[in-house]
Amino acid sequence: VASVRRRSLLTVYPLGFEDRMAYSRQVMGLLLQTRAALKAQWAMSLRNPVDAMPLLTIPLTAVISAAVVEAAGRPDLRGYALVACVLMTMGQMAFFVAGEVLAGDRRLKVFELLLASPAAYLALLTARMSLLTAFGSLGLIEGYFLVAWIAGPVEVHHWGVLVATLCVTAASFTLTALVVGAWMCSGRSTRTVQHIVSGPIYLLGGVLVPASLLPSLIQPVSDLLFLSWSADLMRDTLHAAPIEAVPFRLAAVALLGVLGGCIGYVWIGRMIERLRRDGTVSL
Amino acid sequence: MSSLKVYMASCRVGWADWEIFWNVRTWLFGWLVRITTNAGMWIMLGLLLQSSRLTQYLFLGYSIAVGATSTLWAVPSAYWDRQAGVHPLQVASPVPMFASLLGRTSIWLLNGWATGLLALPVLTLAFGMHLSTPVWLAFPLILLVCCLTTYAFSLAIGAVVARAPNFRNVASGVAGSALLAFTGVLVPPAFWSHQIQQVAQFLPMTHGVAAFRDIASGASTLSIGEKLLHELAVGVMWLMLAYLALVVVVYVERRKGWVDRA
Repeated sequence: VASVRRRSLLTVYPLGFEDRMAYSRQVMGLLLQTRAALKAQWAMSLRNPVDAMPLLTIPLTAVISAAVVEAAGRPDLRGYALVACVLMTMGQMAFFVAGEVLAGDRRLKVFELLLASPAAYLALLTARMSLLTAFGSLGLIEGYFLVAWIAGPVEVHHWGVLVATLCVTAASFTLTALVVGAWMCSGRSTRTVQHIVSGPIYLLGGVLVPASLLPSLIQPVSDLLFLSWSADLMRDTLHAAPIEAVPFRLAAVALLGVLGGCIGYVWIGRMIERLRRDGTVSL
Repeated sequence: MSSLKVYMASCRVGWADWEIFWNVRTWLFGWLVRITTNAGMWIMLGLLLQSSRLTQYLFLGYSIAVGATSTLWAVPSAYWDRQAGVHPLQVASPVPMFASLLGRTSIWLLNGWATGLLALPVLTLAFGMHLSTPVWLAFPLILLVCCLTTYAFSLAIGAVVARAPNFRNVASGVAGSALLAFTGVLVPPAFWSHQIQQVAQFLPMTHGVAAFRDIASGASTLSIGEKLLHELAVGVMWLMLAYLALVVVVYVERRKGWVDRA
């Protein structure tokens, strides 16, 4: 008698004790699916220029912030404009574009097919969202040239740490965007969440102005946002002085992102389970 | 008379648009929180630069811009008639199309004014600013004038961009950044080259924000009135441009047979 095990949304094949190769098949399956999802998303994005729209608009904020600090006679703060530009571009790609993937799947009725397939939906979703978020790192290049044009070149002293922070931040943004995606699908109006989320997160995350300048009452809240850690770390890479505790701070960015990801996974997992149980997947 | 009827009916459509995005609760605790935190982020640049003069400069400029740039929602909104497939009917109807365009987008004008009116007290409290009585009294009027001109500006963009709907959000984003940068909201106009300053004279908010700063610094009523009239003139110019753009776009669409191709 074959025992029917409930398949989790992150496992590829049902695990059987008799199957010695179970775990390696599991890992191989996830890798193959991730690669397929990345390829599919790449092909979809190439045909859908709307995905890239934040890359055209958000970096322009660097013009404003660079002009403000330059007009105030503080060329040393140019780099702040650059950091804000990258993080806001990436944030917009994560929350606006990647956060929309789940809702888009449901709207286009791809969701049912993906759920019915043996693939692990959450792994596919995460892979596709991470590619879209990673596009946001182009904001670094765009911001660099815009700031150089308005104010003058930005001197980065620790390129390695900057790039490492950017990679970890992209991962954390992707995981946090899962929460936004879940939230968008659970409400009545999907757009509302997208339009709300960016303001408070950028302020509390100290994207443009360090969170240490916020009132001391709010600071514990901003410590809980991975964004405040990555913004501080990225600003430190602009100074010649050696950076303290890089691994710890990178770990903080990653851990807080993973925390967000856990919330997102549980939320989406429960939502899918409810849709399946009620038979309302395509409603 | 029928234009007015169409305008009123389209206003109701606009209200329904607004309700797709917001209800009173999400508007107050979502939209307003987002917009004031965004403003707070920019005004805090003054704290970073440790200059109370600059903080006040950013504060005065952005408290007008918060409301005025919110009217840029009219840019994507100008496309929604095409999205719903109503556009060919509007072209065929004997009533001027401008009436229905104005009607459907008017809600975002009101939305911007209300946003600005509520954001000022919040920002004043948050940054511990002390505003004089004339500033408080003049604010609603100046804000309304700036919202009107920015709304007219968005209509002109929206009328054109409706033909290239993929770019409607880009257009409103670029327009918003350009307004914040060049009209003296956040960056002192003297920072920019002479040519940009000349162009800024024809952009919305330039004169309105200058008038608001004049009131805060206690300049003469005459110069303030003059600047507000300038601002209104800019608004009328953009409204006429919007009308012209719509007429030209519809004319070309009819010639080329593109009316139902959105």
